[in-house]
Amino acid sequence: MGDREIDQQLVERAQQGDKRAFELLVAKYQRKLARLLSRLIRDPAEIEDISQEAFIKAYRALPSFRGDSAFYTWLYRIGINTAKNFLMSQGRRAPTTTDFNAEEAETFDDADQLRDNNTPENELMSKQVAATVNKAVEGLPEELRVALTLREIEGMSYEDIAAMMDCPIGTVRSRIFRAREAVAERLRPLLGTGKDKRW
Amino acid sequence: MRQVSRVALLGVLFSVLPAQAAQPEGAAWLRKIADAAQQQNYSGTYIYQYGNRVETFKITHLYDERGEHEKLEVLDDTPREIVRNNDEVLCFEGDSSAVVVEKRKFRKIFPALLPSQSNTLLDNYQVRMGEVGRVTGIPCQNILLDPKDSYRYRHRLCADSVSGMLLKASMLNDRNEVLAQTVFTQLVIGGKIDKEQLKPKLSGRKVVLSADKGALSEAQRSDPAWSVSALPPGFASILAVKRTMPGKEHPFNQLVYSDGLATVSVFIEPLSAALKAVQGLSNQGIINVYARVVDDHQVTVLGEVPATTVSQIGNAVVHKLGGR
Amino acid sequence: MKKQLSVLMDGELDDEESRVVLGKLKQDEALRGEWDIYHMIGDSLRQTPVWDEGFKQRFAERLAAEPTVLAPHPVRATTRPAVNWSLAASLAAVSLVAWTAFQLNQPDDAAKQAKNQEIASAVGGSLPQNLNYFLNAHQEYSVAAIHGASPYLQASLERQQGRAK
Repeated sequence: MGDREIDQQLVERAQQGDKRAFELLVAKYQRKLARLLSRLIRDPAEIEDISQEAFIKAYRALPSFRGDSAFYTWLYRIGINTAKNFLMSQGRRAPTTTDFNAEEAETFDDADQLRDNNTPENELMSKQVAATVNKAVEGLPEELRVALTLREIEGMSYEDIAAMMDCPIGTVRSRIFRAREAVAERLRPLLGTGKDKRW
Repeated sequence: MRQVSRVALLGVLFSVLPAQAAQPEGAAWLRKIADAAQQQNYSGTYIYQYGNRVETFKITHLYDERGEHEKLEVLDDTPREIVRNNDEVLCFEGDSSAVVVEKRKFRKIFPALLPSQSNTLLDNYQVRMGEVGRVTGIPCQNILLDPKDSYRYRHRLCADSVSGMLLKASMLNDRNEVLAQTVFTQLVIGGKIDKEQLKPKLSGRKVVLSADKGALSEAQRSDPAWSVSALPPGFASILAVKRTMPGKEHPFNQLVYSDGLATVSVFIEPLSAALKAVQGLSNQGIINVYARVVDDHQVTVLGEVPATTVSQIGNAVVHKLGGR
Repeated sequence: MKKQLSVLMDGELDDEESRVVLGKLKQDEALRGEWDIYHMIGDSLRQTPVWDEGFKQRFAERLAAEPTVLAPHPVRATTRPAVNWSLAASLAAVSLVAWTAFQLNQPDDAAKQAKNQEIASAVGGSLPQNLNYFLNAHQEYSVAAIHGASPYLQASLERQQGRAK
C-alpha cells in the first residue's frame, strides 16, 4: 500500500468517526504544514494557531474530501487559505508568491526560518531535536545510516535502495527500521513519554 | 440577479440593518442593493448555475405607487410563469391543452422573524469591498460577505454602482470554489415597463384553477419536546412549526435556524411502516443534508451551509421525554 | 509490529498487512507514539523545523472537543432495515448524489454491485416524497436559497410527477 493509499485509508477511517486516524495524519503532516505557513507568517505562535485552525477545518471538511487529490495537497490549500484569511483579518498582506504548489513548498530552504524565530524556547527545542537526531544518525553503522538517508532525504523506494546498496529488499527494510529505532531511542528521553510531559 | 423569493426577502432582511453598522460602507451597499431590487424598474435574463446545471429565467419588474409588479418566466423545459403583485403570487404552468393557475401566499416572513437579529448578519459575516468588475457590460462593485468561521459559506455580490442593482451573486466554499451563482446575461435598468409585459401568456388556452394541493398546511407551533441543544455559533432559532403534508397522516416538525443569511431547517417525523430510517450526510446541489434517527423519529437537517453545520446541528437534536 | 509500522510508513507494506497495522494503530497508544517519533525523525532529517512543543497535546484537546465527523453509511438498525437513499434535483431529472463515492471499505466487488443496483432501482422508482416537501418547506424560509424560482416551482414539479405516474 503506497503512501497515498495510507493517507486515504486514514482519511476514510476518520470519516467513519475514528478521530485517532485523523491525529495520525496530523502527526505526519504537522511540521510540513508549519514549514509551509512559515513562508507567510513569521511568528511561531501564530503559525501554530493557524496550523491548528487549518487541521480543524480539514477535519470538519472531511465529508467532502473524495480523494481526487492527495490528502496533503488538499490540506495545504486549506492551510494557505487559513493563513491568508488570518493575514487579511489582521490588515496584513500575504507575500505575492503564495500560489505555489506543494512540491515548490518542499524545496524551500528553511535554515533562514530558524534564525528568524523570535521565541527562544521554540528555537531551543528545535535545535535540540535537530542536534540529537543528527548526532544519533552520525553514530550509526554506515549501512544503517546510508539506508535511512536514502529513504528520508532522497525519498528513494526500497527497491531502488536495494539496487543501490546491492542487497535484498528485506535487508533494506531491516536497516531502515533499525536506524529509526536507534535514533528514536536517543530522542525519547528528550521528548518524554510520561503523562506530565506535553509531548 | 433576482428571483421573486430571494430578492424580496433580501430586501426585507437588509432593511433591518441598523444605521450605525460596524462596517459602514459594506452595510450601506447592502441596503442599496435591497432597495434597488424593490424600487427599480428592470427587465432582463439571468442564469442560475449550480454544479453542472444551468437554469435560465427572464424577469420583468415594475415599481409604481401601488408597489411591486413582477413576472418571472422559466425558460427551460415546461414553460412556467410566476406573476406577483406585492405579496400576491400566481403560478402559471401548462401545456397546449390547459393552464394550471395556483395562488400562493408570498410569505413575508422576515420582518417577523428577525427583530432580535438585526445585527446577526454582521456578527457572522465580515463585509468588505472587493474589486470593480463588469457584468453584462455594466461596471459593478464586488461586495464580499466573508464567513467568520467555517459554519457558513462566503457570498460575493456584484452590484451596479449607479442603481444598486444586484447583477451577480455567488456562493463560495472555503476553497473559493463557486457553489452556485446567479448572474444577469442581459439587463435593462430603469425606463418604462409596459404592463402588458407583466401579463402571463394565457391566450387561447383553458384556465384551470388549482386546489393548491401542493401547498403545505398552515403552520402551528411545533412540539416543544424537540429542540437543538447546541447550535453552531451565530445561529439562532427563527421558527418552530408543525405542519402536515397533503395525504400524510402524521404531521412533521420544522425547526428553522438562521445566522442572518444562511438558513438551516430541521425536520422531524415519526418512523413508520411507510417511512424507513435513513442516516448519513449527503447533498443536493448546494444544500447539504444530514439524516439521523432519534427516538423512533427521522431527523433530517438541511440547508445552504457546509456539511459540518448540518451534521453538528443534527447531532445536537434532543427529544425530551416525559413532562407531558 | 514496530518494524511493520516502519515499512508501512514508507508505503512499502502490502495491502493486507497494512490494514492490520492501521487497525493496530487505532488501539495501541504506544504504537501511535512510534508513528509520531518516526515521522519526526524524517522531518528533522529534511530540516523541517521541529518547533512543536505541545502541539500534539493541544491539538488532541481541540479535536476531542470537535463533533465527530461521519461520512454517509447505511443505518444497521435492529428493528428496521435501512435504505440507501438517493436525492432528486428539485427540477428536471433525478441525479445520483455522490453516494457511491462515499462507499467505504466495501469487502468485494459483488457487494459494490449490489449496492449500485439498489440505488439504481430507487432512482427508477418514485421520488422520496418527503425530501421534496422538506426542500420546499425549507426554501420558503431561506434567504440564501438561490434556487431558480422555487418554492413556487417545487409544487409544480410535484404536480408534473403526479401526472406522469
